[in-house]
Amino acid sequence: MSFDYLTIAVALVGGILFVYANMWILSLVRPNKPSDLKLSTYECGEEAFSSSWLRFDMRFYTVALIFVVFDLEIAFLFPWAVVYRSLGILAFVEGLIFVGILFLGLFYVWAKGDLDWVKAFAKGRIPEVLDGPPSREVRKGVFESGLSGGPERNGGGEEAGTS
Amino acid sequence: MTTAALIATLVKIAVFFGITISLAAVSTLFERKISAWIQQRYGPNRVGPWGVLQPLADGLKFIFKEEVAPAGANRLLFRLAPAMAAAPAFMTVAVVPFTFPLILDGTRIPMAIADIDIGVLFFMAMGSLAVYGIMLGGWASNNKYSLLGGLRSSAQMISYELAMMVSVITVLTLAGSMNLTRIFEAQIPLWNIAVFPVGTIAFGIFLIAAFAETNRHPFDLAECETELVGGFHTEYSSMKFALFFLGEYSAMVMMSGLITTFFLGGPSLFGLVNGIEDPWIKVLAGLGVFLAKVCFFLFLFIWVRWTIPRFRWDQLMHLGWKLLLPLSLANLLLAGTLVATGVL
Repeated sequence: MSFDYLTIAVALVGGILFVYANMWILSLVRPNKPSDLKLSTYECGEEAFSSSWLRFDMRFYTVALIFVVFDLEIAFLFPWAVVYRSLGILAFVEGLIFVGILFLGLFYVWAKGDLDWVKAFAKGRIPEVLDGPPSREVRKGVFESGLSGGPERNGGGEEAGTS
Repeated sequence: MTTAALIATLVKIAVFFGITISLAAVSTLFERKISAWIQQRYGPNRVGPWGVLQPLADGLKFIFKEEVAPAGANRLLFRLAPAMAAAPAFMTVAVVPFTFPLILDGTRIPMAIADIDIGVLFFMAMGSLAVYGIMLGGWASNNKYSLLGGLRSSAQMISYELAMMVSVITVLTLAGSMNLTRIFEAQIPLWNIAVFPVGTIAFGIFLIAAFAETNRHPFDLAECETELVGGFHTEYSSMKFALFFLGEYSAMVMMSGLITTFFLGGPSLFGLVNGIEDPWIKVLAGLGVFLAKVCFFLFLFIWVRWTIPRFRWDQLMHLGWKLLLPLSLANLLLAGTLVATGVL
């Protein structure tokens, strides 16, 4: 058995070596003539503008955080599953409680709206338009509810300005 | 023991690794051939008869093309990323049992390169490592498209990994071992896919998650040519691009192999192959059956890619978190109940 783990170690080292040998040895035979245009980043033929470190959606962090919690909890289920048959009814009850807690956590983040990519859609504050462009009424409604358009943001700005 | 075991291991490494790489190369040819058939056109047909030398020609081109790294790129991470994307798929080969154990003179030689008791954990660990390759590639390129592609891909892969893990755990409750050889041996009387309803549901969840984990259509939002050019590999060229490509196809082969092992009984075929007396013929027949199943799933991967349109991003997250994860957890509880009450 320890021999098998040694093989795994060899496979790990071998996999990395294979990849790097590919990249390094073969780089000896290819041309290398860099120029400014070649080294600029590709933006569909336009000259690249501004920094490429753009601001991205906070939801990516939320997803990663939820993942870490669930991943850790699910990792505990692996040993449980392996010895499940030999432990009998006790393992079943404990598994039931544990998965129940997992479900509870899932429903909590669900109810908080953290599983929705756009929270406002889920809470019904912005009507979600699926087919075709939004109708006149919908656009009017969105504008009046003040969530996607200017009024609330402008209002906030004014408050900040006056105070 | 040691010399014989060493030779056996070296032979297994050469054969199984060779099979995986060749299957990956052949599937790049068939990707284009099948897409052409689906779209009623020819596909590659100039390099060699019927275009069979196309993968070779591609390989030569990858080797002799100039390698360009954008000026603002992070040199270290830019080089690390393709290796991180490709190496885990190659390493997974180490634990997949390609056929029945060979029994010679009472000695049992398992037909996985390393027949370890934590095979499932090793596969999950390697699957998680693959996320880093794509994320780092997107991050280090200093390109807006790449950054967006890398972010999307990492969020997508971690979301679907949960559902995949739970469906694998369901299989573990049925098999009672994390050793992949024992998992398929437990299915010789009845494949897990036929264990209705738990095995069937777990199979469906694992299949969908496998598409998402390998960044294949309909979950290829990381590449998404129409909006992100090439996503995380926009700035990659030459051998580094080839490694991303090779990593994706090797991951497909490995996923097909694991689906086969977890749900389709690995090399077994309704007890036919299992009953063969001669050890060598049994091993070879098992290998043939296993590869036939793997090729079917490779075909499925390609078929789906050219048939089904891409998901929208919020639909993707919705499917992963709100449907697959609760469904897989409920399925696990159902499996636990059925096993505890002695039905399964």
